Amino acid sequence: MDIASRKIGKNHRNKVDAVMQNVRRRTSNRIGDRRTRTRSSSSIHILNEDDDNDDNEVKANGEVDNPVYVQRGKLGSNQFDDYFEKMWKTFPTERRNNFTYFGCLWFDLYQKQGLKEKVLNWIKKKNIRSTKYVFVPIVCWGHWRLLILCNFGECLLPNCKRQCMLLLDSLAEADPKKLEPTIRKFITDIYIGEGMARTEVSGAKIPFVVPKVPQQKNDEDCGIYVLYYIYLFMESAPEDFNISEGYPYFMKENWFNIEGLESFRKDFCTSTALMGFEEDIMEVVASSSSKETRSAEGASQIQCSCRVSEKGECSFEIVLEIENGDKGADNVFFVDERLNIILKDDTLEGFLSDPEQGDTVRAKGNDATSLSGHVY
Amino acid sequence: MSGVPNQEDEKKPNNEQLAHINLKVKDQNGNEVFFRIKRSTQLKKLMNAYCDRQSVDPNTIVFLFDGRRLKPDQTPDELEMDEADEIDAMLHQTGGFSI
Repeated sequence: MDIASRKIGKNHRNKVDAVMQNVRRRTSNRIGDRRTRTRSSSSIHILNEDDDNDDNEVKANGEVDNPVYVQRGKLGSNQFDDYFEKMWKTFPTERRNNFTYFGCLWFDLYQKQGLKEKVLNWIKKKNIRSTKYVFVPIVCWGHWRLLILCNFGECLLPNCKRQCMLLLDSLAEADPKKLEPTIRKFITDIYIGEGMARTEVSGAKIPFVVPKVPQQKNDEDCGIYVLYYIYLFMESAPEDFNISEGYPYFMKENWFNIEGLESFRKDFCTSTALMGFEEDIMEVVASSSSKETRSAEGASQIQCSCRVSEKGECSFEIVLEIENGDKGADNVFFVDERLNIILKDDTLEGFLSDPEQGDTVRAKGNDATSLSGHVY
Repeated sequence: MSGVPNQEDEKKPNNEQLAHINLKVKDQNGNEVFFRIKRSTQLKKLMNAYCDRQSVDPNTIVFLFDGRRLKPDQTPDELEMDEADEIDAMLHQTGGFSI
């Protein structure tokens, strides 16, 4: 959103922000209700495509005239993935084979009710026992940390103890040790997924260590630090990691300096395009196979949402849910900045002067159907 | 409107079945929305439609397929998606500091 806002002129941005706030205010009450409806009616959306447009939109990375944005500010999971991938690809395959990684949201999702099994299934496919090092980026309570699992493929017997977990945290004050119980639970679940007995895993007492690593200087760089820890670890991790021999190796307070971090940031943490979504003005026909009983009244609900086009133009979208049965579908309207309804197809006409909560919106079809609804 | 693609579907059901795929998008609360999309269509169509449908800001959602993040320019073909496969729509996380 930051990047997008920058590209859009300041005036436009203010306007858009104001509009978005309005829309959020209007729609917030509706969202919860709408989800329930969606579930009960199991509607199917048919996505129309426009191949020509698509082809034009896919541009090669690194085009000369594209501006380059260097990552500043807090790091989101989307950008984290992008930068991670960019960095990962710079290592030769034979080096990469020593490492694998979990998705940056996995640990967070693992802790969510009902998603644990799903996450453990994803992990099963990673074959962590055949890889020396596993990176587990963790974004939890608004802070990025890095967990590295070492030698997890080795046996769990006390006499061949070489596994360990390293937790790297660029903010030692954040008390990384408080994550240990959750991480241990996570690890036990992973091992159980690999077919081991719970007692065998908990008996193994895999060491959990928190090396002293360079610390972030502000309140937003932890994501970049995690990426840079991964990068440097991939560069220098020994073939044979063993905490009894010379650990923590390179992982020390003076592991790297700020210049190193900044040059890493410029090399990898940049993007040349707006975040995919804003570029594409929605052109979807949402149709519905709603099984709900329809009343003869006609009017039902309207939902507003707002999107910003690449040029920074703002358009409303209003979805009318009609219950009079004749049209039998969710109709999609676009409303321009002057709040005129731009219709998705030619079968309906409509005008909305200034949608306020409680307003009634009317649209007339040329087959004499007439629809109306309220703005929520 | 729903009528247009349906008419085409009826004419050539076999081709249509091969070219299209039904996908399920499931959110963190277990709510499901179904989409029908051409196998060669970029998934950003589905992502946008989902976000619009749910009235959520696309920048707050991460779409995962088998735990991996979907990129807007990927297609079901490219990802070898199967009929009725499930996509997870998860809340995107941001990290800067804690405490």
